[in-house]
Amino acid sequence: MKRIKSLMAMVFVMAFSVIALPETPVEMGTRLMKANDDRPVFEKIKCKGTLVIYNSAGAVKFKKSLIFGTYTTGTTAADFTERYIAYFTSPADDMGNSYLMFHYKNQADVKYLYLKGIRKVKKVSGADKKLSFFGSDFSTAETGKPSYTDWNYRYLGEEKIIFKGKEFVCYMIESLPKTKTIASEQGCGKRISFLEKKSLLTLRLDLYDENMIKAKELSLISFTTKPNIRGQKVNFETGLEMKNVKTGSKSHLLFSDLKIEGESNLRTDIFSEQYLTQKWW
Amino acid sequence: MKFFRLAVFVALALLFTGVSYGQIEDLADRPADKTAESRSDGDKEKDVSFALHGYAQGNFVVSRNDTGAKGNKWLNSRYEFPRLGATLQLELEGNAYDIAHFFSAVQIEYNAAGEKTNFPKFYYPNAFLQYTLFSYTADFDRTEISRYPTINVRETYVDLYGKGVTFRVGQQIISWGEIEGVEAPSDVVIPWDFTTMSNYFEYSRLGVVAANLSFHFAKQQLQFIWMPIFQPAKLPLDSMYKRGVTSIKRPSFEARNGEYAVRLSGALGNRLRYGMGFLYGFDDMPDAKVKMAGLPTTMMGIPIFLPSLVLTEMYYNRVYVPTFDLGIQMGEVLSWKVSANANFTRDFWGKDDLIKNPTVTYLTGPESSNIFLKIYMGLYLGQQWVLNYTKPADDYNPIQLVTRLNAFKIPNSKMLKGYGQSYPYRWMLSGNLQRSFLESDALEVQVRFALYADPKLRKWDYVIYPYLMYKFTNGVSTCVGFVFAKRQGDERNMIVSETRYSF
Repeated sequence: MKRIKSLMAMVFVMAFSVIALPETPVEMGTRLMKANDDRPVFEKIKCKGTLVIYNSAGAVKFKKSLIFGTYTTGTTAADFTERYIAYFTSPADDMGNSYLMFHYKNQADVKYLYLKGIRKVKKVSGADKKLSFFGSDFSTAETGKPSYTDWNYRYLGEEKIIFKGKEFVCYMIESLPKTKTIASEQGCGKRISFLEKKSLLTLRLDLYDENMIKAKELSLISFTTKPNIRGQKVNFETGLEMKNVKTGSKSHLLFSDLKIEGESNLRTDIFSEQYLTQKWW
Repeated sequence: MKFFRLAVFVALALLFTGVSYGQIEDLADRPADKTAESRSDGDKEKDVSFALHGYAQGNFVVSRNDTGAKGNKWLNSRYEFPRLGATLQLELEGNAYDIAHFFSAVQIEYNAAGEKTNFPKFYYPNAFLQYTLFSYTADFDRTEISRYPTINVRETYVDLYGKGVTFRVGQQIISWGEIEGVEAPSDVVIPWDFTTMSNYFEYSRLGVVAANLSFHFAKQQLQFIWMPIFQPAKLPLDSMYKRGVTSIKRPSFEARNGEYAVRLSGALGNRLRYGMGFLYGFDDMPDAKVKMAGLPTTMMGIPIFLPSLVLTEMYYNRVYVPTFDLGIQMGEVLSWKVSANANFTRDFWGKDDLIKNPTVTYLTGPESSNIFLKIYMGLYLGQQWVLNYTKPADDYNPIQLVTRLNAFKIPNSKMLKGYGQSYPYRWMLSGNLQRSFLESDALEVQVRFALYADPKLRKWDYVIYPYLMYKFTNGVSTCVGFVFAKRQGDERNMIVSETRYSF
């Protein structure tokens, strides 16, 4: 009996010690980035977007404005779909161009561009991902949500990041592209994300080129917190800064006049080629 | 004291650990915390709105033209400034809720170089059907040049939107096909402007008056177009008259002369896009009627016909044009495009030299955004086949020439050459390469080209058009293009400079 008891005690100890084994950096990084990817989102958003492009001297070189709508459905990786539609309102030489994108978790994004100069809707191939987003320091890939499954993750430690003048402790996670093709398509060899511990908001993201040289730095400027249609609290980024550390230029992507869920009055049938040339906002 | 120490400890512990986590959401935007951006243009979207936009542009074009070198009286030398002045384009746009939209683009152009308006309407050739050089007979007066500003309505239309239906009526530009930036064979609805002296590709297209009804369903689009007034391609008149053309006649503005088009296009899955269209209209390029006056005579006892007056009238014939487009996305890197048409003319069997034979034309090739670094590239190879091809007669063989004239048939080699039908088929290679440079992609370099060759690749026609555009800031840009062209026997080289301020 005594033997059985001690055996049972050993089994319990071993079982709990297994459970209590600390995560490896890869497991922790993967878990945190999964949690970051699974953060609740709004189903519908309508807002104004402004892309401000600064030159290396810090002066505004270009400023582009657009009206932006998104509609998200699905909760699992299989049925998750984010739809984006945008219409450029300024400057005058970009006015009338529009953009439509479908983001999936299990397959490549589908993107269309309407260029008023050629009066045609153009399907944009995936290879466009590393091209500049309308001349800004953002690439096309960086304006959308990165595909969680394209990367391998590793937890690197903690670091303090300053946001709006206050210091926040962040998880530092390294992401490496799973294949050379992904790296080449996105023009990115490595990313280091700084996730704020409680909210998992990305306060900073360092982007390295294919030669592993730090190329750009993405910082959160502002965000807003509102409940979504399911009652979940959503932290929505309303201001992002992309700094090109090689050239010294930077771009801001700002969202204002945010209308979400019911107040957006966003129709769900507008995410089609037809509405690239038709008023939907 | 103990309580105080505890409070300090708790405060410190919170400060260095969890309290910061609680703070970040305190830094979220409040509904009242509008950014500077939203404050500056925070007007509520209006349900009925109008906006005036457009651009002002300075133009400078210098050209080298072999038509002039061969003796056009209006040219002092091979070099001239055909476009020297300014353009003001006003664009008025309005929306009424989400059910109607209005757009109008009106272009006012002042060309200090003036425009030639006094082309002679017919001429007396010297002998046979030699295409008389213009200098020989032209009564051109160089002082007769119009310098008045011109007004051109590029587009003015109204859109009406219903659920799954759009209706656009008015002067509009309609573009078909998956390929852009080159003369795509399936882009047949609206004509080309072969006289354009602009770096902007859109100005090589001419708007048409049309009623355009489209149904949208399940990622497909079914489009019906009615064009009551035929608009032909715009051809360089100096080049036309050099060839002895005495007049160009459009079909009269009558209901029976309308054009009709239908197209089904869309996506099948995420990787395949297609388009199948059909146009029943007029050929954008004219055919010829040649009228000869003269008395039969004899030479060494052989009766021959020597015309003393030749009138060459250009006119437009009906055509039936099916079109086909395909865009296949291949992996994540590139897509493969096809653009094709068949142009069925009135002379299907190729019996009449003065009417073009039917043709089948296609272009196919890859399109990618970054095969090599950040270059956008579209490269398309194709052919144009002449159906029921007839070989040109040898105009230098006197027996053949006399035989043809006695049968009231004109020497046809120049006619077939003018129609681009000298060979059973010709090769075509078209491309569009583009790359941006400098900070904020401010410098755009683009090369568009189209090469045409006979089956044995001995004779080439070409248009090679590199251009550079520099964007200074919002809406302010300058571009310089260099045109190297040899087409249908004419050589033209141009430097086109346009500096634009968009507002």
